[in-house]
Amino acid sequence: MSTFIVENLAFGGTTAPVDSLVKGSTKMWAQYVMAGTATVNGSYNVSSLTDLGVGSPQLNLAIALSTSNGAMWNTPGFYTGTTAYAVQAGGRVSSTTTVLGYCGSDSTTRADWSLGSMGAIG
Amino acid sequence: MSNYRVIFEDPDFPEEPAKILVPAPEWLEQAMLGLLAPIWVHHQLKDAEELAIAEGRHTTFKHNPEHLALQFTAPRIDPLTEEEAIEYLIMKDIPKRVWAQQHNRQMFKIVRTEQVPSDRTFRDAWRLST
Repeated sequence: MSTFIVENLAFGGTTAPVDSLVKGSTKMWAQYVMAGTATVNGSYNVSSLTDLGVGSPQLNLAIALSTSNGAMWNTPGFYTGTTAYAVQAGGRVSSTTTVLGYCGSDSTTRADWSLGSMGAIG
Repeated sequence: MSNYRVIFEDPDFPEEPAKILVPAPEWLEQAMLGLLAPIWVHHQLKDAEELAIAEGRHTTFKHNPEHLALQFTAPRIDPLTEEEAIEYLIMKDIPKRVWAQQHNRQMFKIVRTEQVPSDRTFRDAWRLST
């Protein structure tokens, strides 16, 4: 494993600090299924998904973050079957190795989405 | 896609439903290619974070950079079979209290994917059968 230690990157006349690349890039993402048998369709820096119960996926990171103060997103691709409409969604970076998703319905109950996406930055 | 799932219960939260660990295909591929760090690298990080949580300083906690870097720099372990990768994953992603302590009943079980019910009507009432 080699490490380049540099402070800035320049491209096409634009210079940006490497810090913005390190802190500003997506640390993990996954496309997942919670309906039927929970599955991870595709992912980056995710070792597994823990199905905690209805509408409650937890993604476990392959490589830990330095802190647990990152930001995340959790969005439904399909709410149920191939139906896609606006539903409630949330989540949080719960530790340096786990990201929790809260998958809601159009009311106040949780639901097992047919397709969801989650990612984290920080 | 993995042929296996791990069903487990958390002894600290006995009222919660059984949880199901689902391996990520990309990670499994890395495990079978011999690209993983030794498990102690992950345990060292987890232990430090759990201590911070216990001491009420999780919001300001930051990993030791040297320990964090070991995830990339520690010598890789040998390629694992799918079954060995699942065992590694249990030790990495399931809390230690589930698999490293003795309990008066089984707390986790490795099952084939098709053994997990696909009807989730009563998902929040699922328990691990013994």
